Amino acid sequence: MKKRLFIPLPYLLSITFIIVWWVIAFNSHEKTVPTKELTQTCTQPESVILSKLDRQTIRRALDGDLTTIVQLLTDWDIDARLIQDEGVLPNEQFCHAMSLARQLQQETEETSARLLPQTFVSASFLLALSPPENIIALPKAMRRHRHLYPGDKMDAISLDIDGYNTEILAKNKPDLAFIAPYSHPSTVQTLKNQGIELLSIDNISSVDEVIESLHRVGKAINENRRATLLALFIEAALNTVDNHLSAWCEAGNILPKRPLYLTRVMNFAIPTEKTLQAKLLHRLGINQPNVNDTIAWQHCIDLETIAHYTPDCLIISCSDTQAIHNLIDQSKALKHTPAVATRRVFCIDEETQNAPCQYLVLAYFDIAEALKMGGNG
Amino acid sequence: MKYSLWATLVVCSIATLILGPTSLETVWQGVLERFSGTSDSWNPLLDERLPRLLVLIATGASLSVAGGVMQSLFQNPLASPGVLGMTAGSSLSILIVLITGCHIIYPFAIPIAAIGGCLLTIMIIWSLSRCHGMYHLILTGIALSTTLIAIHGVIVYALRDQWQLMQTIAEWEAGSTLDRTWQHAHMQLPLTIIGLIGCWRYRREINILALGDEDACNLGVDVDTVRWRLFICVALLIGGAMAAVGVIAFFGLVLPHVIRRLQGPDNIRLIPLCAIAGATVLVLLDNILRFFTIHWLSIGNLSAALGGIFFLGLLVQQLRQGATYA
Amino acid sequence: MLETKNLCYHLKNRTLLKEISLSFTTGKLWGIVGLNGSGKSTLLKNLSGIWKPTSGELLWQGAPLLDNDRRNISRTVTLVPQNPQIHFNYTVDQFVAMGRYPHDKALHAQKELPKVLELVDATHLRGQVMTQLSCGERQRVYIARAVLTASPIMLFDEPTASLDIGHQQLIWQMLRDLADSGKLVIVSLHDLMAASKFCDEIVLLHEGNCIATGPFNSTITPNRLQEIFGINEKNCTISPTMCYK
Repeated sequence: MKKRLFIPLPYLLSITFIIVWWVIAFNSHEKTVPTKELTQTCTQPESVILSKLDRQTIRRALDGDLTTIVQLLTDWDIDARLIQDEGVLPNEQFCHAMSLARQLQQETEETSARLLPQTFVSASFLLALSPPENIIALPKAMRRHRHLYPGDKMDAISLDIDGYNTEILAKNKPDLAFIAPYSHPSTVQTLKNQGIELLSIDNISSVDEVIESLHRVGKAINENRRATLLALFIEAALNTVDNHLSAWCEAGNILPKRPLYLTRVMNFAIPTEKTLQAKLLHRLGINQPNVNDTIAWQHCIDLETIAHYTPDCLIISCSDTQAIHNLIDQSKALKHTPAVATRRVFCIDEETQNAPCQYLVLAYFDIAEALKMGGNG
Repeated sequence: MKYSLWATLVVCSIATLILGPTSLETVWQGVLERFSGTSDSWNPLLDERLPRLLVLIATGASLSVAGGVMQSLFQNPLASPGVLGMTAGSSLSILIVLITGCHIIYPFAIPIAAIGGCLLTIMIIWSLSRCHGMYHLILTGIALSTTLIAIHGVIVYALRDQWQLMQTIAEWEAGSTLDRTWQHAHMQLPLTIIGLIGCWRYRREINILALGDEDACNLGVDVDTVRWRLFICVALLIGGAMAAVGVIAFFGLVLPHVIRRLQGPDNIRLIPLCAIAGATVLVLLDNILRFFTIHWLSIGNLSAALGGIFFLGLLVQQLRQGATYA
Repeated sequence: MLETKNLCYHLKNRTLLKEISLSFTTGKLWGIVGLNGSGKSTLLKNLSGIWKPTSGELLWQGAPLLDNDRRNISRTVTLVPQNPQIHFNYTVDQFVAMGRYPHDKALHAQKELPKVLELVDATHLRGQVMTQLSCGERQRVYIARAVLTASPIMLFDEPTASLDIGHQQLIWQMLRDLADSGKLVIVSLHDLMAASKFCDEIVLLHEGNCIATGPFNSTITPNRLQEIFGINEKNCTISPTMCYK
């Protein structure tokens, strides 16, 4: 049978066409915004008389360390009085907090309840309120987030909650399991069948709900005092961040006028009113566009809308800082926005931002620090 | 019908280009500055809306033509890239790329994976079901599609703790036209052009192949060569669409079916009509989502919902009329 | 002349054609007869190249027919299949026009269409959808398409199987005219009476073997009728095809 010589030609032409197109299209791009390290420590001067806010120290306190809690409350109270003639908490609450701390420091008795947290939120509360020996297992994959949750305490708990080790968990005879409305129905049923008491922690989307859930957990495990102290600490921490921000402004610094807080997975998105993040942003005075939605958790936002908003500071909650660097570098849409032009794009840890537990303090701290770094015109 | 489709496409395209948060005046000013060389700053129309429009047109045309060609090639009006597992194959390949993250370093990884997955699936389906009739073909497609979806499910389940990846996958599989840039357009356009040219080139052969392999051979079509080339064209079309937009369901099944019912099975008219209709419908759907700021629905969700309902209605109508398929 | 030399065809461990050696001369109407499963359709598909012979040669005017590309082969030989299935609503016009595909352009398709449809008495079917035709009407349209292909070799697999007596007469006359015009016309059929009436030469197949070839009377002998078909000549009933003029 005759074979025509040009039979492979259509394939050759097609492949060549595609490759040439791609080579021309993708080689013509050049970086117009120099890459730089986007995360920086804030160097603008604050009032020298205030104590230094250290993220790691705050985190240690949130882990439940009593000494750190007391130290920080004391320092912050002094800071608050220097700024505004008032304490970091109302006097009564401050005294109550100190009193609780002393009681707990002198106490030797420990509770011996056997606890099984099914969710990250309940686990993070329990790690702060209860000794690790009382916690039978941790929710699966929580250990990966050592940068947020206390690594040493998690290491002391050997088991993970996994569908395959139900029997091993049951052997440990938990007294109380903490679930959520979104917990797997069959898991909940199994726990009920095993005769384990259940406490459901609802979805948390505000600071008040965090505090309320913390109190519920504390009450359930007979650690009311620790829970109350931690709750007061959270409130004090948030107030302290506010105070430091005010002091920073009073020292002659200017906050960004049009900051924009974004999350990023596949696309950029803005958290809606429904989320805890939105409440924190509102507290900081950041008004985001188009967030009035109590159904969706976030609204996707395209680059044109971001550019149209002309933000002078971008705060991006993400997990991959390098990818965001690259994206911002390559984006013509954002190139001329004030934020990118003046190199005020800050990445903050996504995991911290999405943790609706006591670590919301760190989330608040991160946003405030980003605002300060983005400030001063 | 052709003229009304063209008119709708033009109107929807204009709407795509002019609708947006930035005022038309500002946008147009930027366009003029760009063309006069006085400024190269980002312009919504030139740098986002226009590439998005091109991606939408290319995707709609690709999916619709690919579906029409598949239906003729397999002599079955129910054959579509989705039913035959090509979308699942493409989707699985893209999933692997997303998991490994190599698309961050090599953007081409996604379209290449999409095309590769699609082509491999077609080859498997064809080799398993040739010479066994149309029911065997559909069953093979469903079986392979189910297997690929199962593998997909295994991977997703194993990685379910990585919620960022889950969100990426969910958004991908829902189909999205958000932030489509010239990168997406450049990724897709050469594939779409080659694919459409190939399908058009073999329009007469596709008509004849719709009669069956033996009859096509009898009439002088080099069945194996032509079919293989059409498979490649379909893989390019589907791969390009998947890479640029994600999963858009039902386009490859419903649209060609409807067009065929309205104007007949002759591919000389069917192919261009499918292309225009696909482009028009997809641009229209995108405009609807943007105009009414519907954030909770993606274009893939909408096309699947509408396509499914439409198809059900079509089937019910057919049953009532007692007609054979188009 | 179309020649086969030791043509064999195997399919799934079965030998459907066993060393068939035949010479089909042009200008004649050839009939291939045999029982069901004797290999009639298989032989036609091998002759048309739709099924590639497993071994042996197929020569057209001395040269291997299947060494050409598919288009050239189809310009030379065309087959009207038995019981074809159509899944799409092509119109009769669109369908018949496909018969010109082997030629580089759809040359004269539209001009020739009315003539070929008239030949098979299908002019009234113009514009109708193929899937809505009866078996017989569809058969006639297929024949019209084959005529439009205008190949020198025309193969027909039971062309009158679904036709009424009037149309059978018409088709046989048409086949006769085609043969007389110089084409090589090969028809597979069960109707021995029609074979005796219209075919110049007969090929008798049995279980994949060519038993005999030649004029009807010398090929379909009473012994062969008995041995192969199990028919006693004396007990033959009069076939309706005796009505052929």
